[in-house]
Amino acid sequence: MIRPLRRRHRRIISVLAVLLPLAFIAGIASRKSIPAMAEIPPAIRPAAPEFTHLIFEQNDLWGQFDITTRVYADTLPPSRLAVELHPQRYLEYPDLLVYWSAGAAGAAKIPPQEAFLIGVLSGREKGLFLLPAPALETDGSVILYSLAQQQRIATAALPSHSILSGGNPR
Amino acid sequence: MSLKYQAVMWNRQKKIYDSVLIAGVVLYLGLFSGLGAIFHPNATAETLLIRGFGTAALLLLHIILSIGPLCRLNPRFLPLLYNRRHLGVTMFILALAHGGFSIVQFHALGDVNPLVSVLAGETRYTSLSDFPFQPLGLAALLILFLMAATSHDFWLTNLTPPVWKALHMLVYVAYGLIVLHVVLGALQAETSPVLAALLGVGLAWVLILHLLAARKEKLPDEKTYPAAADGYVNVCAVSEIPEKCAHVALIGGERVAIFKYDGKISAISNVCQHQNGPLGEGRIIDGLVTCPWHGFQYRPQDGASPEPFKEKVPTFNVKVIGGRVWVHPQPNPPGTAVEPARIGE
Ligand code: FES
Repeated sequence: MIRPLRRRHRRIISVLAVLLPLAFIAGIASRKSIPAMAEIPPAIRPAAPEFTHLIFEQNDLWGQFDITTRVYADTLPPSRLAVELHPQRYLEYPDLLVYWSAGAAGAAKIPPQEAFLIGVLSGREKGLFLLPAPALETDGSVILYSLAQQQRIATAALPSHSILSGGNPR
Repeated sequence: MSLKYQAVMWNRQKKIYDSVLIAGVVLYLGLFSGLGAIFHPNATAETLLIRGFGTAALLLLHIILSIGPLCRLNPRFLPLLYNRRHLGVTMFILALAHGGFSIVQFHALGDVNPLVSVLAGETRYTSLSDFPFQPLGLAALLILFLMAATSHDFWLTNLTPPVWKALHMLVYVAYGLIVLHVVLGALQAETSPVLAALLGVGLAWVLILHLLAARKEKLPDEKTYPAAADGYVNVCAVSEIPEKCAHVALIGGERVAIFKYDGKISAISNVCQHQNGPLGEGRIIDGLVTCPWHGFQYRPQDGASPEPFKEKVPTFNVKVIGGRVWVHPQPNPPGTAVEPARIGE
């Protein structure tokens, strides 16, 4: 290169060597934490200490989603059941609603009319959801539904009744 | 110009260079999409493509920016410089694909022109975390387009090498814009420390390499030479110049390459007529000074390329007295024959 270009090259590099690291550090430092879903209302939030009897645990109910599923009972024999969903990897949906539906849930895009909304699931946060009373009497399914995308994201069969009547499946 | 130069045809070295380049890009995109689909099963194909093209372009830009300083620091990297323009054009195509898919995915479905949406969709210029990062990417893409469009030797000849070089230095502006685009865009949402660390390492690598190369590059310009009454300056001892190589010195405001070969000394401008490459870092091959960048060749005694080529560089009067080399700082017009100084006379 000729001398004026070499000089210009040196100046550009000197300016970048100061500005870019500063901009990089400022940009990284200003990152916001990812907002998590607000807590679900107390009315449908089961208190964890009530559900101390683990009656079922499975890691592979959700196909491509890596979610650990546990079913807890309040007493033995149970009067109420709760299901715990623990995503092992970040769920890239901001607005997952969790439904329980009696029997097989079918493949429709939206949960069946008679499905129960039992809570919301977000990121990698563990969620404990109270199952409706029919879950003691019949097997059902848990459905994850994205409100924004208006579609069912995943479904898992939850044979709560079979487990209770068939002994301890652990 | 090198006798082996082929203006349009593809020579073997170019073919190998481009095959490795294309295979590398295809392999990277395949691996990225495959692993992306496994580790991010929720990501759509469009998202994987946008990320794949974007990261491939960013990686290639780091490689491109490393080649120049690496060659200055160690001549073993010179083969990478030979066809660097093809790397640049490939990088532009990858960046264009990244930008194109992003505009379709994020801006094409509204009732506003997608380009207007890119430029005016976000206006929080006072916030770092919500800064409109997409116009930064678009500005970088425009610069890369300008460079890719003028990368051919046709433009190099018509714009002249200094103007062409100055234009292509805009790559540093594009690099700055791209780093900001990534830091204020993707890295605001992707909180994995690995991604931030990768970009940080890449940035540090590029900047440190350039600073090291700039320091080495500055050394010949710092030395001053005493002039005798006849105007000649005492530059160096003959023994300091390796056989068939050059000693480079800043004389009369510009660099001069002083070559030793076959018991003779000749001095020519250090600036190659092709892309202003450093002739003094080349060697004498088959009796001709050969540019280390792309192999243009010049006769040491008159600075002219051998027939049928037309390139010429300025020559300098030179003499050897008592084992020391004296050079006259006044350049002769390009192509002027100068009697080489005989060593030992
Ligand atoms: S041959 Fe390209 S710069 Fe010299």
